[in-house]
Amino acid sequence: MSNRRSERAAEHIRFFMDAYERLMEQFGDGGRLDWQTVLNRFESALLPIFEADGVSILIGTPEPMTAEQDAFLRAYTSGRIASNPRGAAIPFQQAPWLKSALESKTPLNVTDWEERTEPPRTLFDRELSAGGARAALAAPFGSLGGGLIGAAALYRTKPDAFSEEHERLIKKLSPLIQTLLSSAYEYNERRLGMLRTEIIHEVNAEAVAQLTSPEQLYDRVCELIHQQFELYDVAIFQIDWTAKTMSLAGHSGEYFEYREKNYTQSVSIGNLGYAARTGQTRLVNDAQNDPIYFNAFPDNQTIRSELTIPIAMEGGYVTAVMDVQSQESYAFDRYQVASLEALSRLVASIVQSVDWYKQMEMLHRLGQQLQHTLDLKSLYHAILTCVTAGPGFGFNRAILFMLDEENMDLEEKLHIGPASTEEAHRIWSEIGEQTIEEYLDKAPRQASYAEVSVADRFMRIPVDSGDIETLSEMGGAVAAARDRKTSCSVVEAFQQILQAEEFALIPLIARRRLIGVILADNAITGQPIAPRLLETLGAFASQAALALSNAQTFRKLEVAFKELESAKDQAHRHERQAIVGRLMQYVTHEIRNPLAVIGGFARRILKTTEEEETSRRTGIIAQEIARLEIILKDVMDFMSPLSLDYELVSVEALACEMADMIKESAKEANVRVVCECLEPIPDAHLDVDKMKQTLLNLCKNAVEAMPNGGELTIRLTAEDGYVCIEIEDTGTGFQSDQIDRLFEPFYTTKKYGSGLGLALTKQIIDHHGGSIEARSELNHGTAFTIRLPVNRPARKDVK
Amino acid sequence: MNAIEIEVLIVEDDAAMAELMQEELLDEGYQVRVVQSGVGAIEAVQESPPDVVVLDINMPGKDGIETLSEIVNLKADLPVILHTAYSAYKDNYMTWAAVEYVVKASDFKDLKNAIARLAKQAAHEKS
Repeated sequence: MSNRRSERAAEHIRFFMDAYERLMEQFGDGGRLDWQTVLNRFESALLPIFEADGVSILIGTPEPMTAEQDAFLRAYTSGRIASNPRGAAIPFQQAPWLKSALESKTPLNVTDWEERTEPPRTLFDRELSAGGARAALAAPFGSLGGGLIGAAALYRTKPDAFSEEHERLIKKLSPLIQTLLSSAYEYNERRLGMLRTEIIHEVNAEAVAQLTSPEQLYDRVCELIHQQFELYDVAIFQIDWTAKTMSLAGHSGEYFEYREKNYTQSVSIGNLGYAARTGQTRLVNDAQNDPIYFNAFPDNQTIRSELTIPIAMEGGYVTAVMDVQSQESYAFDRYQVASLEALSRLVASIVQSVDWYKQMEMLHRLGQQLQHTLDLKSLYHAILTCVTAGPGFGFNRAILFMLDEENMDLEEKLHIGPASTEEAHRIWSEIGEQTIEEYLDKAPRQASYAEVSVADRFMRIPVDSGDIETLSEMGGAVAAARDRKTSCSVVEAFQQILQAEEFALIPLIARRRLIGVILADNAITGQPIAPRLLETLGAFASQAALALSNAQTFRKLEVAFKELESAKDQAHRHERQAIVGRLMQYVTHEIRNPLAVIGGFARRILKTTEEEETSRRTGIIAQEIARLEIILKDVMDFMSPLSLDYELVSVEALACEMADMIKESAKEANVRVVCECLEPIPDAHLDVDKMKQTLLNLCKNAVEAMPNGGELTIRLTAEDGYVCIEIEDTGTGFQSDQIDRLFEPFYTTKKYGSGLGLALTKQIIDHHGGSIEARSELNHGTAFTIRLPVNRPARKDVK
Repeated sequence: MNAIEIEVLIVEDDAAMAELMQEELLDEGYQVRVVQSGVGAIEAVQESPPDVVVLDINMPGKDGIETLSEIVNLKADLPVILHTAYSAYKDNYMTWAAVEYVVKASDFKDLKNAIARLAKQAAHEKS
């Protein structure tokens, strides 16, 4: 008996030593220790000893991950009985036999699977049955580290297969198996840590230097996760909040064959949409029965688990969603979820860093480009393009105001922004993936983008010195909210204009002076303004302000230079005019003397001759000379510099004198002269001689217009600060097209006119600061109305 | 023609013009004296002051403006009519010393009117 017992003891020890050696053989060399490898090694070591047909490793956590979700164990099963080698998750609530074994920490010997009565039978149970398992021997473990617990289970296809000896042996092997599983756990943890390191390394080495788009980064991240976690499929979807869509941006895994370029779905559907909208991770364990799960590829119904994790930027703005899928249900434990979440945050911060890096780099290039632009309009356009363009700061809308210190207001110079969401999409798709330089080159042609309005164009916002001080002392770009109360009236005005939930207020300060303000908002997408973006904007604003200030200075210089140029031109012109004038005077003088002599003698002959033919011929000479003399006089008057000598005179007396002067020639022409003055007429400051000349000229014209006699009326009226002199005849009148040209130099309707009389008249009246108008009716007469200011015009006489 | 004799001194370097003026003014019934230079004019005024001087401006040697200022110095109340082919007057402040400024014209109408106005005054003073 004792022999037998000792024999059994020896057998037991041999058994144990054999198992121990086999396990050590399997695990002694270290190497890969992922769960599948561990399982394979257990299989090699334990199956022969226990004469088993299959083995499982069950790993899990006794606490539920979320309120809705059971805690579960994941089973890795191998051997003949494994219908699904990757096994399934076993919810604790559905596996009381395992739960009790784990809680009692004693081996569990299931003698006959088929006779087990405890309901319910889990999927795991069913799978084991399907694989032919009838007996099971499970050895539970306590903590494996990290809160994990687990068990190793052996199966046989015969009932009552495991003996007490087997039970004792597995109990004895438990510490060793536990140690090996702990190592495996550590190995897996380390591997995860290495994966993170690897991603950081990959990204740091390549991303900033070479990756031009987050898509490339996303692809690489998906690839790494896919490989390391041995998952079915990993994808990252980029969200377009304006279009409310998300499209495939990075991918690695089994869906490769399904993958189509630019696969896009709405943000309103599926787990992807849920993660995008809520910014929360969502885990689905039974995908085909999940109310939210959306299957983009209906011909593939194999997905059981889906995990969607938002990739959120600073401020909680979700830019992309990571989507991990598995054909197993309960494929992801809390540790994987936590690891993938950590990776998502890592990816987000990398994407953001890359963005910022690109932004800083862009800022640098733009700054240089802006400093080389001296045209203000181009600058306004370039600056707002940077603020709004996707490759730039990417605001939806922006307005640029410049401070007008003379009028104390902010004058709008330009605004850029689509009028509607539809237009925004059209424009943004046109802009696409251009660099900012490419975009700036094209920007002037994309007029529709610049011309659409957020409000009336070119508004002006009045400011006081307090406003200027407030804006100057903001110390960079700030985010202002619509509903925030403000003591600054100008900020209130901005709120009124934009009506946006939030906007960036960017004071432009150059050489410590406020020169303008840029407002920008995301009225269309509602994307929040990140604090880091404001910092970058602030740096951009100081470059922009400097460029604007330089351009303003340049513009002033340019204006001054142009003025100087034109003054020089004018001086040249005046000089030439003066020379022409002197020449004319000389010529006139030299002609006038002999003309007077010729004409004079002709008249003398005319007076004394009895001879009819001589009389007729000398008459012609005298007449022609008289005509030449009139032309000469008009030309000289017109050419002479007009300098007026003002004196305060009675307009009434002047008019009467005119009437007297014209009376004689009027009488000859059978014209009645009437001087009408029905109200007191104030004295006016006039150049008496010039005004006499003007009025006499008009009166003479009037008399000449009435060859068959008529009536000449000189009518005086007074109105606020002005005296009106109307000279009206009942003569031949003018056609309307003639009226328009009457005051043009050299235009004449008279046979013997120079065409300068009325031009000179107008010149003189203009110099008095007055006006002259003519109205006429053909065959009924003409009226000239002269309006003269009572006071001397402020304008200096034009030489 | 006039009850009281009015003498006009014509200062004109252009002989044809002077002849013509003389004839026209004689026709009007004035006594006429003609000199052909500024110097001649000063001498004539010193010798026997006329009632009216008709003075050409553009003359060789002593020109009309210079002559005018000397006449004003000699006899401040002697009315002088500047008779010229220039249109621009009042350019030189001295022209203000002349009582009239008449632009030469073949009909001598302006000149005759100006002399008539002065003659009226002179006759009034003489009587």
